[in-house]
Amino acid sequence: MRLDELKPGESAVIVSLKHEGLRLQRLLEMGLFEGGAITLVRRAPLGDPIEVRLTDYNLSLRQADAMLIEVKP
Amino acid sequence: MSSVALVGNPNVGKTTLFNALTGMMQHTGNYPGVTVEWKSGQWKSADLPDGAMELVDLPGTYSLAAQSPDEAVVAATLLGEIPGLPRPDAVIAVIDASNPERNLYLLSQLIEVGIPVVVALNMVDAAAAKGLKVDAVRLSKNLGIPVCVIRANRREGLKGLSEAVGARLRDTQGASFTPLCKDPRVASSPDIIRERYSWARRMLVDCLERPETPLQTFSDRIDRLVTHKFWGLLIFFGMMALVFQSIFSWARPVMDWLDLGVRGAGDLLLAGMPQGTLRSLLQDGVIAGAGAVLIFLPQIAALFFFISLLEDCGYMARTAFLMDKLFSRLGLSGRSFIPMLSSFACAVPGIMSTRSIDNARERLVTMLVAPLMTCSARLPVFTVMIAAFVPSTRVFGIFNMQGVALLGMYLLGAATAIPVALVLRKTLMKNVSPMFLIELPAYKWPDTRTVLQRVYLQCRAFVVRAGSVIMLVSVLVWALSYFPRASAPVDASTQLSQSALGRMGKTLEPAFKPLGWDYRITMAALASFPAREVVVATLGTIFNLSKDQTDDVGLRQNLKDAVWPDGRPLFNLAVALSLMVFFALCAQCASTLVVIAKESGSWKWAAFAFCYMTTLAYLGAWGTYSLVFRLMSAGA
Repeated sequence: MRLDELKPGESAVIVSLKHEGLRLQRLLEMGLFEGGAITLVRRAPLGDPIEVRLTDYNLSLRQADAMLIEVKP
Repeated sequence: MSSVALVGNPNVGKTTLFNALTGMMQHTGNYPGVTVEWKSGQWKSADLPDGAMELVDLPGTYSLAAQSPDEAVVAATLLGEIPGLPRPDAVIAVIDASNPERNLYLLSQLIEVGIPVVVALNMVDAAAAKGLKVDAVRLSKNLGIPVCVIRANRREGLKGLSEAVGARLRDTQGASFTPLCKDPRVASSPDIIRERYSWARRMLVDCLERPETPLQTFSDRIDRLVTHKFWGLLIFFGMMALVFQSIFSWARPVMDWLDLGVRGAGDLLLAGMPQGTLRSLLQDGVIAGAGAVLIFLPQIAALFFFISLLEDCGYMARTAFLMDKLFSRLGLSGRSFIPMLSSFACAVPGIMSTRSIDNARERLVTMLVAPLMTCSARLPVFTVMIAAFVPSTRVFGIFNMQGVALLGMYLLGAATAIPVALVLRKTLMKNVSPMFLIELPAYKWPDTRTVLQRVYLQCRAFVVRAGSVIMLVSVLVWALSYFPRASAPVDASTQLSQSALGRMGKTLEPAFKPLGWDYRITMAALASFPAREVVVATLGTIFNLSKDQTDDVGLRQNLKDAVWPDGRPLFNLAVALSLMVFFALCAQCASTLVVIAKESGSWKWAAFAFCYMTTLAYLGAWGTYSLVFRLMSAGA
């Protein structure tokens, strides 16, 4: 399933990122890589972006980027 | 003097540490060619070689493989590639103990640069709140470099830090780390990034205690409230109303007081000086110019007080999170919200606050659109025109026509900004789609000194960078309205009409006739180039406002009495609306243009803003005049 399909509070493991180039590089640098744990904390009140919890910190990213991240529960 | 650079991720307390180490002895500026803030100060300590070092505060960065001008500056400084800036002799890596892994990622790149590194382990209390504990002694052993525990906000551990840096500079032994990459800036391949993270985990394996499941912290509880669908938005709008109120109303008395002070000081200085060119130059050119610079300081101080407060406590990232969706369609992000909101009070602090937008193109678009927001300087023009020419009749039973006109003027700017932003996105931001990736840091109590220092530095930066140009424009416009002198003594209105400015107005009259303006209105619009609100005073001079009726009522009557040479009244509803629309959209504010030039790093963008806004203003005023004139003729 995709990261944006998680429900608030649900955790999963990242399977793959379909981003390319600099975007992929930045996501990896921020600690989103295959095998890492990720929790969808909440969606913004207007529906986008989303907030996720990674190891030790929270990050906000847009739906459009979350859709490209494959996760498994 | 040898120098040491402070490097770290954003939100790790780097600036607080910088302030704690340097006190008030700070210098700021821009890096050559880019508008990235450069900050350095003197760090004095007996432990350091020669008793003092130059401390350079580099912008916060997640990586040396730069993706923004801010990040590029960090890598270039550390590699000694910035002209005129010596390569630092040592680096203090500020590490957030509550998020050690990602912070050690940057550290792996810093060590590779080859400059001696000392780790300052900060935010240990925030880490404890999350149940995280880093053993600094073991970490130091694993890394092979000194690790000092500090509490920058309480100025604790600074002695240990200076001792470690001093010792590190005397001892030239390097870290026991085999570089993964020759140049740490090289776009890290996915494999290298993974390799760095696994290095970070190896370094932390026997010195990090972390609870099995993340603890619910106080910060998490605040977040549940402030990002709530209802309460979150309510708190947000309440907070923004407060920020807006502070710039729009609370700064006002201070501004009035400053205005009085400057004029009082001017009167005092000029007392006894005979009437003449010099006195006029000093009074209407120089002192008025100084006043025009100082008048912005209360608003800049108020806005940056709130911005620094919100940024230091961690709420700023949430404003971007909450508002992002509204701006994403315009190709901007939630970070544009505060600059836009501030611009409704004044575009000058608004444009200055775009520095918090990390993507350079997005920043530029925000800067170019911000002056369209209806600032408080447009208000005097609107109120005079509305009171004189918009009938106070009721529409639909409840609304007053005058109120509707004012609201319409307010909305006009924001409504125009939407298509402008879309066009700029399609042109300037073609092929650039900034990635919205914002860390939501844990909340913390703001550091008073960090907040106040930022306010002071912003005010100083405005006076230093923009002050002289604003002054110059003021003197220039004074000269245009003062020269050439009439041969015989005449009243102020006649003198103005035959000055260079008046002649320009007459020459340009045919161009502005389609807007319903004669040369006198044209002249007033030209004279208001330094600042929009000047147009009201100029109209007063032109229409022979006598000394005893300097209030709005007198001006309104004189405007109503003004006629064309053939006896038709000069002003009517169509002309008033045309003038209002022009002033809603035009760029008649030298200070805004100067700040755009300084903040974008190029006068080209200031010229662009002036041209596009003046074009829009002209077309808007022309359209309004033709439409209203036709409606009025049809009605009559």
